Amino acid sequence: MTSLLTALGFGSFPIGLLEMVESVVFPSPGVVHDVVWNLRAPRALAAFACGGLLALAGTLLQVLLRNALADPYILGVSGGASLGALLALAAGAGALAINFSAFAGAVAAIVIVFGLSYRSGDWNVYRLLLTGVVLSAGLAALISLTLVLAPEAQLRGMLFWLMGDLSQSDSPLSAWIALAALTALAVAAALGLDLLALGELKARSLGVAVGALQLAVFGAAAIATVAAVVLGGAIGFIGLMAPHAIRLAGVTHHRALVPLAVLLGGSILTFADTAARTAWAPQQLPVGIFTALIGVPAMLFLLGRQR
Amino acid sequence: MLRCDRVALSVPGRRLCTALSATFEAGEVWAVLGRNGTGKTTLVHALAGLTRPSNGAIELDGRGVTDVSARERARKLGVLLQIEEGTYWGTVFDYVLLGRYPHAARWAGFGRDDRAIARSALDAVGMSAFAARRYATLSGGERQRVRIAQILAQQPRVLLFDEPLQHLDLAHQALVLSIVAARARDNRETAVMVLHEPLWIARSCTHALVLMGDGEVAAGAADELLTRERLEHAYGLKLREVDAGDGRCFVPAI
Repeated sequence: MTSLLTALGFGSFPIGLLEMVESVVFPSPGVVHDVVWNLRAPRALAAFACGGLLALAGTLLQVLLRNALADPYILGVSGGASLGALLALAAGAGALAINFSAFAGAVAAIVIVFGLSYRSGDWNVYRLLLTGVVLSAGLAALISLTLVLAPEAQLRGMLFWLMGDLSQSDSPLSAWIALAALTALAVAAALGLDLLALGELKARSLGVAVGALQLAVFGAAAIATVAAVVLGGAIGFIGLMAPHAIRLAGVTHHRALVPLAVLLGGSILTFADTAARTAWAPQQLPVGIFTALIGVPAMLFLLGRQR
Repeated sequence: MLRCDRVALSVPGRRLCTALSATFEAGEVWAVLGRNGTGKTTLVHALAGLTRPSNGAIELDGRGVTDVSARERARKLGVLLQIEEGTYWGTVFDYVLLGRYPHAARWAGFGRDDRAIARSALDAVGMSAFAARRYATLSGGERQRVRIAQILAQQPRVLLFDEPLQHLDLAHQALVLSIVAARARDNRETAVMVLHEPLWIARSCTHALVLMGDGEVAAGAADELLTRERLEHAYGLKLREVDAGDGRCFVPAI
């Protein structure tokens, strides 16, 4: 109960803090409205949606692969998206083309992983996991190659993209729709997820249509990851950490775990993005640095407390 | 009622049985016997509709066991797996409650009835005091009893137990077998158990199915089937038959 309330409190807190900090940092009365509503709010919303989607994808994949180390990028989605975005950046394309290219890369990676691991109804999560890891490694090599061969002038933008950056994100509306719909679906299927975590045979013996559920979980995780990556680049750590933090706080039912992880992921990323904008102002830092800087000590604290 | 018609089972590189025909009627308690690796678990998985036999048909209440939806099947048939791959982080009570999944309203979750049934199932295996403990902190034998409670909470008509007595002390072996016997007798449920304990087999089962290891299977009433010669052949071990007062049991002759 306490953990539930803390997580909820933690969920809404950063936004309140955000507005407070902003009205302090930018006190000029005429501008403050514009800044808060036209610049900061969409970005904060984008950050929250992105973090929530990553946390959701991480939660789902940890169940699907029954692997505590699974994160949204384990299936090569971020590699595909990064390669797509980097190639577009190297070609000097505009923001829209970059987003589209990232999207295409992510979808291509998912299709390849799925095609290689799902053969005529025979679904093996270990093969899925290994295919994803192997493909990620291949994509990482191609990304390095692109970085080495890319023109000097584009390198900075590329590095930002790779570390995760929300400054290019435009309307977060579609991401919010995806987040709301997928979270609702995951909560509705929560009991099935609880059982799937016990193993495929066990879930099937208790009446779960395992094949269909696994496909749905894979699809939902893939959509969430692609939406998040297109919005904010390859932001690490949240998808891995948010579900574990909630689990460590004692929540094990997916009915509660899924929404809490989404709230926590969204909150962390909103918080981290605020820090990324303000810590070195006016210089903006990649948000990926801050998710790890905030997340690592928090996670270590939770792990230490567990004993 | 569960029925096998000329079922053939095989694992890669090995034929386990070639033509098994048997009918598991309501009220019967079956023991499945055989050496390690003779296909007892494969048979249980096939009976539970988790895998398909390589040949033949398995019917649950007149319909192919794999033709029924997983949910409908789980209401009629419960299976205790020998090994559970996943780890469960919730409480003992929540674990038992998962057995109510096939009966629960799909989106709404578990109701008050489900909780009452789970509580009485925990009570039956003597684990009520552990309800709030985390499942992962239990000992092997305690975990086994909770796993059995989950199947009891599932309330199926056909119970398939793959090694129900593993990890259990003698008192709890007796408890579990008496629960199974009572359910078969009073509720007319069917029980099929993979057993290794020659101490219990002849006394607690009405029927037996012996996998001989060479593709041959013997199935029938326990009284006729469980002879010293057949068991010696099945296990490749000299046995001695002992009168236990309320029935026979077998001990190794060493």
